[in-house]
Amino acid sequence: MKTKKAIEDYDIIRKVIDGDTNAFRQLVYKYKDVSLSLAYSILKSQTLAEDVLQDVFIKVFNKLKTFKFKSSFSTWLYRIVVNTSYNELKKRKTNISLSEKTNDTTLHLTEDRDYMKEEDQKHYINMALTHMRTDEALVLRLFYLCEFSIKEIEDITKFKPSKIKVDLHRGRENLNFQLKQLLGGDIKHLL
Amino acid sequence: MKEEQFKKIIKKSTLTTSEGFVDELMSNIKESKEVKNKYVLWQFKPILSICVVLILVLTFLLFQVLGLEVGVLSSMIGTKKIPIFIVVTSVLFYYLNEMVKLDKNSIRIKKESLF
Repeated sequence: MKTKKAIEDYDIIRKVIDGDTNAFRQLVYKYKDVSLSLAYSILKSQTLAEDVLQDVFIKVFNKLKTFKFKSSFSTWLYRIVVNTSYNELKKRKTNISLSEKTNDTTLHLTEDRDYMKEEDQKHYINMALTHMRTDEALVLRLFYLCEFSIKEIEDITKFKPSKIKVDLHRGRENLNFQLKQLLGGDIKHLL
Repeated sequence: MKEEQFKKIIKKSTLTTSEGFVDELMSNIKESKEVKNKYVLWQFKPILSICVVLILVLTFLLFQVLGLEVGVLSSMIGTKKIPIFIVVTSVLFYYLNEMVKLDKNSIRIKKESLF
């Protein structure tokens, strides 16, 4: 049975296929941020992730006619995001600057130590995720951010279910470790 | 940490695209559509022109030159001019159609190789 969200997506996709290019904007708005977060998990650079995402959305627009209205659009889209990002990573593996990964590891907490701005929280969580293994960060995001099941994650990443479970387990441990390294006792502000 | 806390933390990590991301994307999509249309038209025009010229030449040959009561060919072709004209024109249109198909495929392959 299709969810309301999936039916809404199907309606938009049909409009785009019928020639309404502007309807595609709605799909982009709906999925751009999560897609960016997934691409960032792999590429560890926001600029690069955005460039890849531009290509991904153009590719999706051109391939929309081939979309089979069986699976959900989000699964289809995220599969393309993940594949394109891994391909880009392969191409650039030696060239990715580590500056974005390792810079600014010092804390910039606000004066009030009992309070941490939302932007600061996002910054430190992303920094922790950046220091983790790519597959672990990706699986964590697919599981907790997109709320996909192991089966859906398997469809998107082509990882084996056993690997997904191990990555989830290690990912949780590593995230906890990285956050403690970065924030120490201030980790409580995130919870 | 508990499951719910992990979920909360990961949700907080959602990144947002830079300002103008969507506008840039939509303008890139429109540009790629225009380029695609131009490319199809550019490829199609010479093929169409060649076919039109070929059909005109064929018509002229069949109905003017071979229509004269001189020469061996005219007597051989005789009253078969119209069927020959239909067959040759159909073959030309068939190849024209195949060329357009090939052209579309080449555009698709080019586009895919870009990404």
